[in-house]
Amino acid sequence: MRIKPFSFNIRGVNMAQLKEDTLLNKTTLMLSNVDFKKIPNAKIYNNIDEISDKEILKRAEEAKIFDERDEYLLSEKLNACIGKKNIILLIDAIDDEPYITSQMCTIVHYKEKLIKGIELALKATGAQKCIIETYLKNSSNEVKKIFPRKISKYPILALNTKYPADIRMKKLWYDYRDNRYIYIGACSLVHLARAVYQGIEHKTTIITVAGNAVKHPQNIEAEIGLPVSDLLERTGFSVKPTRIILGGSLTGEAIRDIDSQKIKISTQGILAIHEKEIHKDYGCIRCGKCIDVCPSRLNPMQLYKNIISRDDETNREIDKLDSKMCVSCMCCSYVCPSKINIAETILLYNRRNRFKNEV
Amino acid sequence: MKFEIHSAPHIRSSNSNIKMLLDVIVMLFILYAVSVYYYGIKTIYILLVSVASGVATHIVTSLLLNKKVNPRDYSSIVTSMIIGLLMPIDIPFHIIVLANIFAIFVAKYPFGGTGQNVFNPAACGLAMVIITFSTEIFQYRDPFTYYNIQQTNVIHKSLAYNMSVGGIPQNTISDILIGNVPSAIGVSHIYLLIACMLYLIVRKDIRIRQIFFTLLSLSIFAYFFPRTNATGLKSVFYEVCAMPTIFFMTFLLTDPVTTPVRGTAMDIYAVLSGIVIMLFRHFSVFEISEPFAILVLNFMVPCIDSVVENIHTKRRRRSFAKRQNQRQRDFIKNN
Repeated sequence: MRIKPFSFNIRGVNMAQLKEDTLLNKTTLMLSNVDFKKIPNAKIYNNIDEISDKEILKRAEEAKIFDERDEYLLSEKLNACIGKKNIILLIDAIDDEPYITSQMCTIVHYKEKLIKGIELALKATGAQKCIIETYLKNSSNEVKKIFPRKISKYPILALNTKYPADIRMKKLWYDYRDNRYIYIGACSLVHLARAVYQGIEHKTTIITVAGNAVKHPQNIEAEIGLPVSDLLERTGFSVKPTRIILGGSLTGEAIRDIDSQKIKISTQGILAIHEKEIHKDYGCIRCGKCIDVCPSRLNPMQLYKNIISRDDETNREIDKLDSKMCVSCMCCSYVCPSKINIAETILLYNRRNRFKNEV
Repeated sequence: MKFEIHSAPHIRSSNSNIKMLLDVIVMLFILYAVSVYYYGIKTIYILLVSVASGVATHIVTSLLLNKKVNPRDYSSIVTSMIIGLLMPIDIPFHIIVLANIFAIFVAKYPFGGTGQNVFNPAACGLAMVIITFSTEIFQYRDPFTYYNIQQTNVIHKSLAYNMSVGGIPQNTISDILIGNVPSAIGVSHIYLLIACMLYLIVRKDIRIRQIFFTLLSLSIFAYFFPRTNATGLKSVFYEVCAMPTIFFMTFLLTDPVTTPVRGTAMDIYAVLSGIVIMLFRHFSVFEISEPFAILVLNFMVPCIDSVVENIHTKRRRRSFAKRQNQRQRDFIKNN
């Protein structure tokens, strides 16, 4: 391959991934009924030769399969590739945030279903090549041992970059556009295989329940619409958590009420975190660590200072500093030794001034 | 169950400002401990007087400016420990107190306190003391003379004075490296200072590229424009090891508050700092002129920062526009 995701001056953060518990424990099932919901009057196929490519798309539409990564219908995504030459099918199992393994666990725990799903997707799109992408950097050796080099005949590309690997790979594949490509989440292919071979509708999503306050961290395949408290009841708490997070440990949002909050299709994880008191005694000391890690090569320190000053003159400076190129990966807030919420300040400013320059 | 709402990110890296300052304080304390062996118990008094006056000024100034006194702010301790290490052993205590008051009351707090100061406080305090008390501050004593009572009044000029009048130090190389020469109490232990520097680099408190480029430009300048009869590599050795170069480079030039933030700006600053320090040594009347060089360098920091930032903005926008055009062309092609 000609792509170079391993160049020398890549910016980002290296952090401990803490994925051993959820990958080594078994993935369990959590449904409100006794069994999965079946598609009405669906023919169940036993072999890939029995089903034609148009029938696969039709079945994906009937089963209402959504891609968990971007909330698009899978049938629409596959339909967009038909009739194009040299398409690469990229299976997205990149979980670059600590604790989260909801897509990675499909390679380990749903191996056969994933292979069948890939075969079906290749047949539907007419693509020749398929690469499974995952993120193993900074993981422990236990985790690296579990992951094979390839499953069936499809190679697994373990990305060797720093933290915002997801965003970076999508940019890189865009620049490398000799071949057309499509990203498909690994979970949605598992659901596709189920829909074709078992006639099951897409009603569940794989969720990582972990964190340093959780007693038995594990991946749970749960039905969409269950409250968050049900999942946390199964895992239990080892200490009283100070915050509950819906989503990733860096980009997720903290929630107030766990009984009323329901699981969505795009929920990657539920994290219960117990943290010590953070001392915010210092202001910015101009150490420049946020600039060293920013993947968009912005100047977060100066942006933060200009935003909180709120002068008319500095507002022009903010446009000069390109606040809209921020991808909100939260790297700058993560490394800040003064524990300043730099990324959140920039994010809120961008939300306030969303339509400012577009008119 | 209900929980409090916090902003993302929900995990933080373990490095903090206090950790960074404690690293520096430990290193400075080791230098004091070795100086006790070289110059006797009086170094402890210098440490105590310096830190006490620095902390007292910190508290009084915060109260005067109607600010909350921050008990976890150790930056003034670092400043006063650095000032103490740059004093000769026979210094009257009121000079140390004055240097500390000037450093914290005049150079740090009027600009907004920790993290906001334009000039390095320790360099400011030292510059003031060098101008006002230039006779007392340049009178050094040989190390290990406190054991012998008859020799206590032997006052020497330092190697820096030798170099400034065009002479070559007569001491052996090993004496210079272990610090067996008349100098300020903390700046001549070259082996130890290099160890301190390496520790701080490994802990990522200071940046290796800054140290490297400063040393490189200083060495090249010293190689081609020697101050004394010693030419070539000998000149480089004397400029780096006989002068307090390594101390200033490790503890004053690398202060994050008064250095540029971007990597490329840091390189430019480092190259400039080597040149400016050597120019000051060539043309200054004082034998130790590094504090003045550091003040001049701090003056350049906003300028270097804004120039480099403009270059980066242009590059960033060019690549962004390229990608945007590509995307539009693809869209037209597909539809």
